Amino acid sequence: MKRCRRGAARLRIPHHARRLLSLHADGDRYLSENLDVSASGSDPFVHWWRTGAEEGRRMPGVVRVECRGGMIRASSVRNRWRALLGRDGRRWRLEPDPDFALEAAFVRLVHRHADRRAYLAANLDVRAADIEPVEHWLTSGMLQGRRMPGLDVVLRRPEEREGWVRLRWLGQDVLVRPHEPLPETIERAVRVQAQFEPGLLAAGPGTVGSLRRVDALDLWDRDGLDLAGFLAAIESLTRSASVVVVVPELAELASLDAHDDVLAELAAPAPRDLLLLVTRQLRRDAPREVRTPAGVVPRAAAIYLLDHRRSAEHPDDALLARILHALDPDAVHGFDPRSASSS
Amino acid sequence: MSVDISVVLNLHAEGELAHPSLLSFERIVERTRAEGVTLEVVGVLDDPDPITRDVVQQYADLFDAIHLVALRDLGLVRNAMVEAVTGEYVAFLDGDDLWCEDWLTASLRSARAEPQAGTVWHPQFVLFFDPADVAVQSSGSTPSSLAATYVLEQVSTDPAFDRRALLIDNLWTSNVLAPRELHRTFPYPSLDRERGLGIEDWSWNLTTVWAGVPHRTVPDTVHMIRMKPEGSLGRSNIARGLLPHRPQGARLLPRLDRGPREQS
Repeated sequence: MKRCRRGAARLRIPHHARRLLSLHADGDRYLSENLDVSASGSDPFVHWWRTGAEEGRRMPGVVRVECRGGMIRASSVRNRWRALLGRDGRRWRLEPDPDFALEAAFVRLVHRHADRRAYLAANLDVRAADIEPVEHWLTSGMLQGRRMPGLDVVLRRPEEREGWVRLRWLGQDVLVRPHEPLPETIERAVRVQAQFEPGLLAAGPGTVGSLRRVDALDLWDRDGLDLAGFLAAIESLTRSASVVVVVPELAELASLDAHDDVLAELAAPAPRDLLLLVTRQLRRDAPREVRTPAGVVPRAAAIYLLDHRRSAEHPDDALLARILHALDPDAVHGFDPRSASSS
Repeated sequence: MSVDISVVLNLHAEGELAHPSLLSFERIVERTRAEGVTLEVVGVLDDPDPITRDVVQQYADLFDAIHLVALRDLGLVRNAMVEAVTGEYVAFLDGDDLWCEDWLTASLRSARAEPQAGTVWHPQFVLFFDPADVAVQSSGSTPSSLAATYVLEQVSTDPAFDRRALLIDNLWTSNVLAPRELHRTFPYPSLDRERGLGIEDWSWNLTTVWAGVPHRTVPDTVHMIRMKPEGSLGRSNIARGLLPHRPQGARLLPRLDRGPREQS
């Protein structure tokens, strides 16, 4: 990669990059963690932008920076950062990113409402690593399914919901709702009843107002299922599902013990009157296509249940039973070679 | 004198846990009557164990009537009570829960103010509490991350409500107030063990929602439910391997119209 001279680099840090760094990054802390940079008298943002990131140095507060297609946005993938820097060299062509304002608003909202102390109390590994809790949650905790007390956040659910704000983060739509404390009337009612049942205050007499809150429609929180996304995926493939074929992984179709007409329909182009449901594999991990005795089944022919789950945990059989019950197909072809059972 | 609300407390095998519930029940009855609401207070014991029967006996003065039945099916018990009571509205309460003391007055007020008469009313909040949380009790205002106790905010069938969500999981608890006539129009389904179908409340919610009956929440009301080992709100039914009865046409996807030949 072509390196530029340090003096020139100081002049050429893109305006948008500086603006982003000024908003998110902690230059003073960067200098305190990198004494050689501090001793050189370099501007922390310029140093990190031109060389520090490539050297693997962490810029506190920065989630990700990349420049691609005229857009600048937050990220955490240093490899991509290097590649983009090498590709573009010094000739940046930056344009305002429509996501930028939404991402910045999301970060501001998180900073304003996050309960840092509660997050550290709930995540002892983060506390032991002495990582700033909001920074941790934004960069990894949220995607790991950790909850940030003070906020309700939903990823990958496109529809608007009353009381929620739609913003952007890491290239995704995010619905966020600052955590409203329980109304005082409810707290009072619970305390009145606690004279009959002390167990009501078992979590702590002072905690009633800040107990974990779940919206009844937050199926993510109850079953880990993003129902809206799941339904949208189904509807993109079929308007009907009189037959559902369930396999743990797409490749197992090759050994599916099903009727020829089922396999033939699986291999047929859409629209189909059949739904192929993959239960233990993400779409990105599935092979591009699978060859079956009746034809080739492409990856895009299936719905991947894990893509619509909050965690990568496999859905339990009870959830699958409820989904199939709700789909109401005429027939279900189930196949799980691990248990050597089929129905 | 006409009865505003027939409040029905269901009991089965709550044992000593019925004590706090009956104390809460006593409070709600006193408060509601003090507000001038005419109540018919009914208890129903479905095949109770001896302890539960004894506990309820200690509170016998609370009730206008106590029914002893052996149906072993909560849906059928509720249907029987709907026929046995006379109130304009019926409120069902379960014998191991607790309720805010103004639940009946607030829900009746909401029902009377609602222009659409046939509405089902639910508390806005449900506190699922786990007495075992005392092991991780917090002395501050932030509960331990290990605490199981949480608050569920129930939803109303407002325009944004997607009723298909109800096909995957139940959205409301059994604590409802609704016109008695609505209960007569939509009886609870019975348990069908052979087909693995039951879950009377979930099934009833599905039936009424698919029939266009609005479900609404009453602001600033709370229902308190003791968490059982298998969890709450449908978990116990899942543990029993049951699924709800689905009304005709209630499915995640519309079925394609097929010709007679294809249907055969």
